[in-house]
Amino acid sequence: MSASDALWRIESPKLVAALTRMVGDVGLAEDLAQDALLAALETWPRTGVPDVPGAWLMTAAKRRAIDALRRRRVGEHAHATLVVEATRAAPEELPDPEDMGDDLLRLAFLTCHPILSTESRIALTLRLFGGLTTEEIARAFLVSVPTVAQRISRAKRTLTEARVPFEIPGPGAGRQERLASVLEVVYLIFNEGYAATAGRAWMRPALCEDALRLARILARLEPEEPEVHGLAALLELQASRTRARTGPDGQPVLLADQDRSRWDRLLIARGLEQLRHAAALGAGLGPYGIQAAIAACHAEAARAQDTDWVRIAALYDGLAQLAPSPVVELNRAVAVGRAHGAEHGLQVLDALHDDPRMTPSHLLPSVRADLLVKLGRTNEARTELERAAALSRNLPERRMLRERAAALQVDGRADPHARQATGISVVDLTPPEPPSDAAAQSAN
Amino acid sequence: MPRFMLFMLPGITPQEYAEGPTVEAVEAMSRFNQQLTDAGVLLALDGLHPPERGRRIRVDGGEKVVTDGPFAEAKEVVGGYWIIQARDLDEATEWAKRVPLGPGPQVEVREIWEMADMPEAVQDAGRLSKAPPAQTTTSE
Repeated sequence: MSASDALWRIESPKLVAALTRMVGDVGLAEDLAQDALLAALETWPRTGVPDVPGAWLMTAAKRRAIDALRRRRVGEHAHATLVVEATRAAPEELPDPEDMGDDLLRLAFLTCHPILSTESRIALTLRLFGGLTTEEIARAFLVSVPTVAQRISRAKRTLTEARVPFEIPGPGAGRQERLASVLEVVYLIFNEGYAATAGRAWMRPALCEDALRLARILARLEPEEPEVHGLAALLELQASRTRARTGPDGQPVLLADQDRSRWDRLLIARGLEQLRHAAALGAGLGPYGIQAAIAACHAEAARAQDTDWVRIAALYDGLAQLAPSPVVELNRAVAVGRAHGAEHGLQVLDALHDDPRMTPSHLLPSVRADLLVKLGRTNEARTELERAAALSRNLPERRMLRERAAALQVDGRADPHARQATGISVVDLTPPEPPSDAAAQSAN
Repeated sequence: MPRFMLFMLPGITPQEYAEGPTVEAVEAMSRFNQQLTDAGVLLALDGLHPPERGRRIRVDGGEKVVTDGPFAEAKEVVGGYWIIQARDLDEATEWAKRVPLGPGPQVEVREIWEMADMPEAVQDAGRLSKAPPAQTTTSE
């Protein structure tokens, strides 16, 4: 990352947010912010970097906004307001941080607007709210730069054409749905990094980092919303396992087999703190909060065998009621199997077998295989693992599933080494789908 | 996940250090800390007591020898630190440039060494301890 990319990442979200409020067009706002940054890169080597670079950039950007609006011959009234706006801020003084926070929050609601496709929301959010360059986004999602650029410009045009207001939606304007969309975008960014859906890499940590950053920012902007803290808690806790999730050759390491001394204590502490915050708001935990509570159970177990599976199973019962989905049921089956015996887990799983919402995926057969191994039904387990390997789209994961299948001996006994690996937890492999997806699925 | 430690080297006399920072200095520093928090990049931070209240331990002739502070030139004394998340050294430097500094004090930026950066034998040695420290794993 160059110094100018770093400057863009730190300053551009605030600039774009304030400018969008001024000019009412997020595309123009981004252009103006870029102009201001270029001006800074030209000026600062001569004059020295100002004490408060953000304030300098904001002033420069607002001047450009006024010029742009003059050129567009906006109405006298709007123009006058803008001039007052722009001159009010003294050069070395930042606007009221609280106003700025509100603008940032408006920006998040805008870039995550349901009018946009999910992939556009993700790209636009990373670009404008996250301050990533188009190149960084393209690299993270393994697509070409022009593809991302086009996705972003189309998204900006859609927002402008639809005249989507730059606002923090109130209860009457579908606040909860809009907030759910913001959280979902951050969650999807994290998951894309945490469990890369396709390709050679098992993880793309940079995306996890960006999602964590955004979740923390949102937790400060929306301090009274339990699910915002729930999401931040979930991501901190999941990210705490990053270092332990891959082996020396990049292959995935299952939760039960992870070297827990490599879990990041700092992130665990931060996640637990966010979870306490979510619970302290007194409105009960939502789906993200419950998932965070489950992740906390793992984080607090010093060894895999110390895991409180009874509590985890109970939390999954709660999650299944709040946000029912086949993936939640799968995870519940794992937890029930660990807490109350494999045959009970298998019962939960078998109820899913004919579920039309259950899309073909490696998860169902791989979880089934685990439970079957525990019940000594090794031949059936091997068949399931082979089926899972055939369904997996992720290369390291497919290799791991094949290895586990091969490790199950033909004579019906489980290889002692393979038994270790049967502590599979889908909790870590693929976090459950976000609540809004689940809702959409049940509506189908 | 790249993480960086920013060290504050206040470069002040022991007497100034002992007197503690002024209200204005603390306010300026709090504004900077707030920026880090608002940007979602701050992981931890602390300020340290003066080295006069610190001790050093070394081995001399097979014996552990404890020395009371101070130990170093005043300009090399670490007064506090931040741990931040950043994509790379450039981004961490951009943050470090925002630490409120007068003439004299310095900020040093260092990347935190991850196990994954080490040779395999070192990583294996690091795996000898499987159990995490107890104090961070107790349930409430």
